[in-house]
Amino acid sequence: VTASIATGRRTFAAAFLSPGLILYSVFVFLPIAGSIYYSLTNWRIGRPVSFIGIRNYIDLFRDPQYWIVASNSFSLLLLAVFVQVPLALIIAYCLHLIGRGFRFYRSVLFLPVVIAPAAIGLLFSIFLNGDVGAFNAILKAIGLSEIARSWLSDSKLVIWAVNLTNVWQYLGLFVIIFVAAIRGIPQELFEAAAIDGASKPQMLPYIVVPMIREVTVICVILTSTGAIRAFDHSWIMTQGGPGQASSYFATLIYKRGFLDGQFGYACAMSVTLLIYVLLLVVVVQRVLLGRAR
Amino acid sequence: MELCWDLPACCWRVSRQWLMRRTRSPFRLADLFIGSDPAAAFYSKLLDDWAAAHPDVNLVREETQGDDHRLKLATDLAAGNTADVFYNWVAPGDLNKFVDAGVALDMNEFFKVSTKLHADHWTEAQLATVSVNGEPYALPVVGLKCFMLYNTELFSANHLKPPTNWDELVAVSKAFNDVGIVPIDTGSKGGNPGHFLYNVVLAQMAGGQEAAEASYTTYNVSAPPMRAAAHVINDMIKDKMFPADTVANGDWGPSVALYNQGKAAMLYTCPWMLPDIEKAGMADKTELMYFPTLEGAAVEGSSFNIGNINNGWMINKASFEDPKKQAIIVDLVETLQSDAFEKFLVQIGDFPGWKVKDMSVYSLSPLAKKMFEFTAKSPGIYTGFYSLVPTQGALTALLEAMDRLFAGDDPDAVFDAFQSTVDRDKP
Repeated sequence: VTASIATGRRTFAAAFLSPGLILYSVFVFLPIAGSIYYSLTNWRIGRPVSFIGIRNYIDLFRDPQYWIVASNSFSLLLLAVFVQVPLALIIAYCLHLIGRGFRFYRSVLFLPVVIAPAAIGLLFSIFLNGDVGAFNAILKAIGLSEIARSWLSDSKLVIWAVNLTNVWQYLGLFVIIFVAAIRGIPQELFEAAAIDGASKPQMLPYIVVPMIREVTVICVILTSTGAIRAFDHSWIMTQGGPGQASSYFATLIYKRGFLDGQFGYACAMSVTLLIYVLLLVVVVQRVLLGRAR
Repeated sequence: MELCWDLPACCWRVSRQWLMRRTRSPFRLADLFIGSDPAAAFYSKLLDDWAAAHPDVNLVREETQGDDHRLKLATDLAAGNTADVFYNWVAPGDLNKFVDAGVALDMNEFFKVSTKLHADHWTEAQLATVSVNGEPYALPVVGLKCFMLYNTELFSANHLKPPTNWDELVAVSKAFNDVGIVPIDTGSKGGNPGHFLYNVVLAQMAGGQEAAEASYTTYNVSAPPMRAAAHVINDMIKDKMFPADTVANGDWGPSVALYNQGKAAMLYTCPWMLPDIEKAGMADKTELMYFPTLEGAAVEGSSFNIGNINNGWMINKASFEDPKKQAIIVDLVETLQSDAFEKFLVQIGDFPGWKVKDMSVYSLSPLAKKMFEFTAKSPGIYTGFYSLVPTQGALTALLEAMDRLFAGDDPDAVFDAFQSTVDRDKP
């Protein structure tokens, strides 16, 4: 009887899991398997496909452009993890503390998240235009004209212009997540801390941060995987240029695959990106959640 | 009462026609005449009329704008899913991959079947630009000649004359910079439109055009004239001849913004930007000028235009060999290359890619008329470097190099990187 119940449960579970599993396999696992296969071929538009082993990977690791985009992607990753997430947490805590206008500020902060990244990219490319953009005009108006630059044409600065646009757009998403998490903390903890003489800024590291650790991990995973897959702002604002100065992994994959027709090479780059994302998720979970346990 | 009978009957007829079309296998036409393209409305009407005259054909129009169309064609080719008829760029990087893959039809096969279009509709030179190993693989539609415009009001307000040589260009640029006017409105994002200006500089260098033409077979894209031209561009940047932010002012739309706002005095551009300039009300204050002859130039700036055949219709070989589709293809392509559409293209400022005996048959806007007349004065037509680079990867590398060059990066470092990318892309 126990065996028959177990079999029934398994069948029941399989019946409910299979549609999702089939869809996930068709749209995620199969393309990943396809990419791995094609990364081992010399697939180029209009030419016959043949197996070349790990040749693409060797070329990739020797390609200076790959290391430029790796550096750009990791700069965004660091900015997202060490600036975007902490800033979102601080803003969320401030929003939690203020009573009046909470909903208004929350909506304003979330607004950029729902706007298409292409529109934000276009907006910022006009805003940051070194010749006629508002940003340089503001700098000049407040007496900081020495700081004014050609933000999108300076090979050293452009990546920060694109990175900050990316961080700015998605800041509101993490603010909303943190606000919800902070509101879930029992009010008694704050009251007890206040009785013990803790100030409001002290409550942030000693009550809020430990209490929302798991949410923070989710935010770090979301922002870091998003950062490492970033594409839109880079493409719309600068097409990854000048050269590869503002290209991320996805920008270079797009250029090599769809503009150059080097699909085998682009697939190899995609596979390395997949490995980085998987490693990142594992490391973040181990470091942040492991410590919590 | 009559309406009670007529309405269902009409609905039935319409649905039957719709169903008949849907159930027939689709006939696919891929092009870029949509959205803000000045030919979009005319082209759409042309195709609607054609579809109405062919109710038995399930015409599926696959339309993507600008460079997205290039991407769509490349993706379709990679997926073995090329449209039956498609509009393409005809530079080797764009055209040859379709020929190499055996997808492009040798147009001599088309000429054998067509009753309206024959090879003599084009000049030998025009067909040569779309030929691989002597056989034409596209029907040239739109040609191209780039040109330099200047704002007459800004020049007269500052008591200046259009520069004809390097010294004058430096002096004029300084004068405009002193009053906060950008001398030449040219930026580079995705290589546009900077690579056209680089081209005109390269063609003035001794052996520049020859080096560009040789690059198709030698894969040498960093020959001395190419580097010399890059250094001239770098000197122009140092003399503040371009906008400071060349990426933000690059790509086609933004490339004319400063000029149209009266914030730039000169503009090096291409025919398809004329409607934008006219819409901004700049036609009356705009005149054409020769690109100044630069320091160390071996070729006079007034003696040539950068130009070539830019786009053409291509036919999927497999579709043409399908007896069910061949007649449809021939009929459609004859319509697409009809007098009416050709006249319209010239009217909006496109250079005819076909043989023209008499330009007076075309109705032109005043600025387009000036452009045709002015560019006709220069005897030489030099094919652009971007049309001569050997592979698709080399084309992307050139466009990336242009962004770096116009952003002020070291010219030699830019061309070293460009050359190494092209070397890696060698088959």
